Amino acid sequence: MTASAVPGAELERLDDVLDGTDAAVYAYGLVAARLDSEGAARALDAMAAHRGHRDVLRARILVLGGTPRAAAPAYTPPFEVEDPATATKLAALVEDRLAGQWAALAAASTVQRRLDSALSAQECATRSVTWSGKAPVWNGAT
Amino acid sequence: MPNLSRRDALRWSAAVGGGLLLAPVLAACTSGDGQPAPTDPGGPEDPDRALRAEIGRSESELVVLYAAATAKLSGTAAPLVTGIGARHQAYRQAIDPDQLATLAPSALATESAASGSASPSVSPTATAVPTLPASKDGILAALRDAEQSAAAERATQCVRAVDPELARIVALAGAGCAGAAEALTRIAP
Repeated sequence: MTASAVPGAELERLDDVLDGTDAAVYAYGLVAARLDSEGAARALDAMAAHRGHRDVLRARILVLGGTPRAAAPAYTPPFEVEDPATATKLAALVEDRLAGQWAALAAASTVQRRLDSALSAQECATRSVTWSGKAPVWNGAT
Repeated sequence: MPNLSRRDALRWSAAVGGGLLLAPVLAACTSGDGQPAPTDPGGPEDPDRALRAEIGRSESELVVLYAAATAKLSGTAAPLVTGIGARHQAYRQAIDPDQLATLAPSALATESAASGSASPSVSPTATAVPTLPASKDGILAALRDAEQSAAAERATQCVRAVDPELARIVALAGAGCAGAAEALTRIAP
């Protein structure tokens, strides 16, 4: 038996990850503006990485017959981003949540594309830790 | 901060929903993509039994490794190492709830060859206690290496999963391993 994916489900998860990626790109603009030059450079590197993913996600949606949705003009963070501490907190949160969305996409993807999604989840999780400085505490019982 | 509508705020919430911190892993009765999950994950009809056992063994080894490290470490590294070890226990429980990892690999192979057979009666296999370096730096490096190896394994194991929900959990476990490796790197001098 081999793993299979439902095309509609993959499209739905792709849309989720694209939405999360658009939010991440926006968030890193806020983050970069509140960090020193070194931190801002890291934020802009992360933003570039997410932009690269965004292009790939849009292409995958088109291949599956969907229509990539346009990014929102702006996104409101769940808390005020007013200093370096809250900026790094936002960056870590965005990456952590996006890792979960990539994992969900891995589950909905065909075998050929699962590996990329799983590795993207790892990339986001690693980046989250670079911002938070600590490993996420995963509660498997929730 | 731009003046944004409530709709935008809600959209942010939707856009960044999910994640490692709040991943609903065990409560699902359907898979992540809407497909029905196996009625009995890890049960005799589960096509992922061998994979669950394989990952369960790997997570068990990590649990034992972290327990050994926790016994040797003190100071600021100890809480982090303890927390990561507990997380591997959660991964093991979510992926291998029936503790298939305690079966000998040959038993699972025999089982898969005999279609429709019930769970075999075998002696459980034990996880060997690893030998860790004496120094704190050496211990942290060993843990980091183990996490990096596990992250690579989980990525390929995710591809092999038949059940999409198992694939999602394994992908999350791999992300957790990658994050843990980074966290360990950051506390090592």
